[in-house]
Amino acid sequence: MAKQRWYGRDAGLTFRMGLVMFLLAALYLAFIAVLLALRVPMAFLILIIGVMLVAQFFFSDKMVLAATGARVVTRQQAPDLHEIIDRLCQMSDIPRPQVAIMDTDMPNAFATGRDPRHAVVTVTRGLMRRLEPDELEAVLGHELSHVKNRDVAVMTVASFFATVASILVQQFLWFGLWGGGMGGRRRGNGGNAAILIWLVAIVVWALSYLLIRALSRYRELAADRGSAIITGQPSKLASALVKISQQVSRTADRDLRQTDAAAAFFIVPALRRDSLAALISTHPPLNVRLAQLERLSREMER
Amino acid sequence: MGFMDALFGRTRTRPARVDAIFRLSTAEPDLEEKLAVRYAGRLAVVLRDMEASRFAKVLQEARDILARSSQDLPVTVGDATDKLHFHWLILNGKDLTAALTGARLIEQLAEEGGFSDALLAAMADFNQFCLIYSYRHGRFYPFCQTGPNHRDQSREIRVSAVLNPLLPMEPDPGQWYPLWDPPWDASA
Repeated sequence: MAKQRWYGRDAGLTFRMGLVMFLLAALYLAFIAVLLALRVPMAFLILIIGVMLVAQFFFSDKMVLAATGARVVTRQQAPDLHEIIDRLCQMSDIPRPQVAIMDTDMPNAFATGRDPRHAVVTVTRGLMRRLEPDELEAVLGHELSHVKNRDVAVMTVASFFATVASILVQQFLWFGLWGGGMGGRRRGNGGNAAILIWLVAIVVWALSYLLIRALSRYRELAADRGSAIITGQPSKLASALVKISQQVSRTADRDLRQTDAAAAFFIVPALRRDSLAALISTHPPLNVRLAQLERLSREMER
Repeated sequence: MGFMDALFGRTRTRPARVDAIFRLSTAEPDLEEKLAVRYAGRLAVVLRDMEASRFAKVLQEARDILARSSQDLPVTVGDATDKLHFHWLILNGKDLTAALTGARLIEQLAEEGGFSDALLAAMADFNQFCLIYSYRHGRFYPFCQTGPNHRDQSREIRVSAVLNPLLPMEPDPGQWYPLWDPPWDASA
């Protein structure tokens, strides 16, 4: 009996991710409805934020590289790294990303770029020094999965109206004055409407923040799963994650300042987080990630 | 990878495309005539290492069957692992068609085990260059290694141009992934 694939589907993860994305969309639609009902001048706001996000979308790879000080390396500069990436890309049929190295001893890795053709996968020197080649391959498989899943694009789109809301919250004073001033014949209502908008924006901002974080965690799990499927070695990613998180939590204090800019992109977050973290963390806790990889290992043995 | 797969972050591997590899057999006389090269008597099937214990059994079974059928199939099978932990099942013997038949057997066993996506490539040595068959795309491309991490790309382009009417060649040179230092001699 021929079997098509050694791995099954993870309907649960797909469902949870779909639910979060649905809730975000619903929240945003409600937000737009409220803003329209209160006759907020949306066009200007959306224009500014749109330009901002388009800029981020198109320059995110360069911005992140600049912020972290990572340098793109050629095949001659890092032949071994390129060879691993070559094999992975050929195996998984993902377009070859650029490869960069970040000169820090903290072991970590991240991927940026709006689509697979503009992607840059970055690893730190500490990662290359500490991991075995096959563990490094598993980490690169995780980053390539991010590239393939277009996580930068998905997260940028997902945070669009959250950004609108957060700007409304932060610019409340300015916006309140403006809202009051332009009311004209509804002068008496201007102040009340502005406060209402502010409250709505706070709620939308807080809820979308939690939802975006949840989405980010699910996408991390999806990338872990992708790595296991591409490399065929779930346990290698597991051992890499254990190694990295031990090392990262030990060095987090020292490296906090210089790594903050890239924290959201890393395979393991560089900031030490405690219990509140579970809800607002960009990454799932280590034991959840290890449990998923263990499940895949078992699936493989069936 | 479709839009929905990206949206939900699903990863799927494609099963290997084994349909076109056998056409190398009919193209062999043309290779000798037009490119003046001879098959060097070794062809390797390269597979990714899989953690599953069943996978090791699949490899062992392939080796056993090939060793047992040596009267019908004039190839001997060797076995090597490269530094990236990929398995190389190396089929030695002058007859290219026999080697391709052996490769077919390996492909079938991998498919039956559910490891079709572990098949990376097949590589046939023609002395001055190698032809690589990619199981992802079901196409051939030339690979001409001239030194450590160094390849003769202009030669590869010429070879590809000559072979284009005869074999399904990979049109995008960005997909001509190298397989450096094939471990031909490491095999028993």
